[in-house]
Amino acid sequence: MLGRIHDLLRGVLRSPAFRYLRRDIRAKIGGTIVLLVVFTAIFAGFIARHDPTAQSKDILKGPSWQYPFGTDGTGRDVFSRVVYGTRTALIIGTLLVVVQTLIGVPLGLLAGYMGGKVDNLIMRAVDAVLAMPGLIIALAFVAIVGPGLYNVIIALAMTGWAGYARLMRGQTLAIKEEPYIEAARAIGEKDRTIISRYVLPNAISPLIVMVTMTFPAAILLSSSMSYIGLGVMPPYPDWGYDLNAYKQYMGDPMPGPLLTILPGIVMVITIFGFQFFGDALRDSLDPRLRE
Amino acid sequence: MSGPLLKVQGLKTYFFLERGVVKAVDGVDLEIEKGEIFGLVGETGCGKSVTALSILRLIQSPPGKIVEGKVVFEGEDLLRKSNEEMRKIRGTKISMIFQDPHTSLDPVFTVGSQIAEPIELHLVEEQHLMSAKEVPKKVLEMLKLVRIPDPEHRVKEYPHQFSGGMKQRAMTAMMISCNPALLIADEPTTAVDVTIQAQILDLMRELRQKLGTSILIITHNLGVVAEMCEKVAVMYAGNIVEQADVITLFQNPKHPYTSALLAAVPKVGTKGELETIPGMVPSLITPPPGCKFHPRCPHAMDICRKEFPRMTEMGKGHLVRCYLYSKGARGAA
Repeated sequence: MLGRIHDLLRGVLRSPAFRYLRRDIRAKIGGTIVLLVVFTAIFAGFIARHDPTAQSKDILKGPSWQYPFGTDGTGRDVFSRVVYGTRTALIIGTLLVVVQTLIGVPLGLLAGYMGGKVDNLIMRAVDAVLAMPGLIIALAFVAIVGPGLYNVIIALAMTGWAGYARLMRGQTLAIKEEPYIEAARAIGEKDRTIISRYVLPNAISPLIVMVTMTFPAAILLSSSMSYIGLGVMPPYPDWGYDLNAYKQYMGDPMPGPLLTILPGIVMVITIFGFQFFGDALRDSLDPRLRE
Repeated sequence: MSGPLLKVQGLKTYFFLERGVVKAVDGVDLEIEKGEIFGLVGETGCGKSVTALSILRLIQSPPGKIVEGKVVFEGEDLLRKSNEEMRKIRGTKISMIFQDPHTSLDPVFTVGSQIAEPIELHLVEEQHLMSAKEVPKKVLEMLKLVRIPDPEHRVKEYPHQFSGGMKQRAMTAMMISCNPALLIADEPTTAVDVTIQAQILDLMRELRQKLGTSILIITHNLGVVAEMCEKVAVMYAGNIVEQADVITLFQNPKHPYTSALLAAVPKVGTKGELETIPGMVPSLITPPPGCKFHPRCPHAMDICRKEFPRMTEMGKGHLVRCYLYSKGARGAA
């Protein structure tokens, strides 16, 4: 098993896709932003100059060395809140993608591989879920169970898994017909081995792309929920919640508008970086788009 | 053990499609002795591959189904085995080499790890004949056996780094790694060029000699049959129409279809038109009544259009399904 994982990693690093990625300008820009955001999230404690929840007497101050993005109405350092906000964003993005993958991928593999009734059952559930407006369902769920980080993740995962299931089913249907799957049967492999060790590794490229594409979407969705007060709860730093809290200063004289503009720019750049990287990754994995 | 290694009796495999039932294999009988190389010849779509897949029970179901018959292997009917028992037979006792080496190896894993797969699965996990530590050594041994040069290095490479012939040999290594009693080779030489063909055929002969493996070769290439096989069966539209040892079949073909096939082989040094068999392979959903070959047969008689001929024994082990040789039918006609 370890040998197989090693094989897979070595294959990725030596693949033409990886070589393409290293040359692609979008991958460079996007990748740099992604790394920067991850770095910020990990070392938030060192980068932020203040406790993001600590209030002070410096209320609504403009940007300065002490407060790079200024302070808000309760004297909190906005820069520190943005820095710690990366943690919230990445935690939500990662957990959401993981939960969606864990639900959607096995179901999709099963539907595609088994076919027949199993396929029908799973895919009709997928259809039903995809027919529902994801954000509304999530809002309704949070309205019932209450807001909070984990509830937001559960709420968004309830509908988000369906896309993964549909993607994996399609991949499985195609891979299932490959002669190497028939060869695997001919050497007596068990069905579950064929699914996990033959079908899944061959479907990994589109899955990776799906993950990089849904990650920024997840951050945006959770921020939207926080923005309307049904997401992460204060005083926990969250971009969406802060944007909502600071929008009251938009009409004020400077530095009022900066409170929303500066964090907003950071958020936009982050999302942009992930999407840019995802685009480059998708192209790199598609041999037709590579050259 | 007495009796043949594999005995297929009255095998019928049908595919149930919306536009009708395709009778891909419609009553096939075969016997393969231990250590024998047996050829199954016929045109594309005559049911050769389906016969092979039926033996291993690898028919996609639905739409395919083995509706009748027996596949007796080492004295036991494979069609009565449970799925789990059958799974353990695949790769250990019966294995199969596929037509296209380029797509029959998994592109994302190294050749070495793929050859290790059946060894780990059957010899280590199921039969405990070997410890996991010995697997890499066995893989190298297999690569050497199929004569892949520089195996220590090649074992870590991916299928796309192998040439077609090497892929075919690597697949062969994977399929024989558990020393099967029967190896089914489905058009093993179709997708590779002539020099590689010769190497693959040599390799199979060598394996038979070293390991005593019986081999069922499925092909439409009569040259391969002449070179490799001891016994041959000719298939047409889901039935075996003639069966004999290879010399008899080539020197003294009885069935008009066999004669036509042999006449259609291009010969070096002769000029002029290539002989062909007039007409098309019949539809397997609505095959012609009587003998399925009669619409294309130059000797077709009245009875051929009405009744399905039975196997007639012409000599020792030489069987023909044709009314030209069936006494009873002649009387009737």
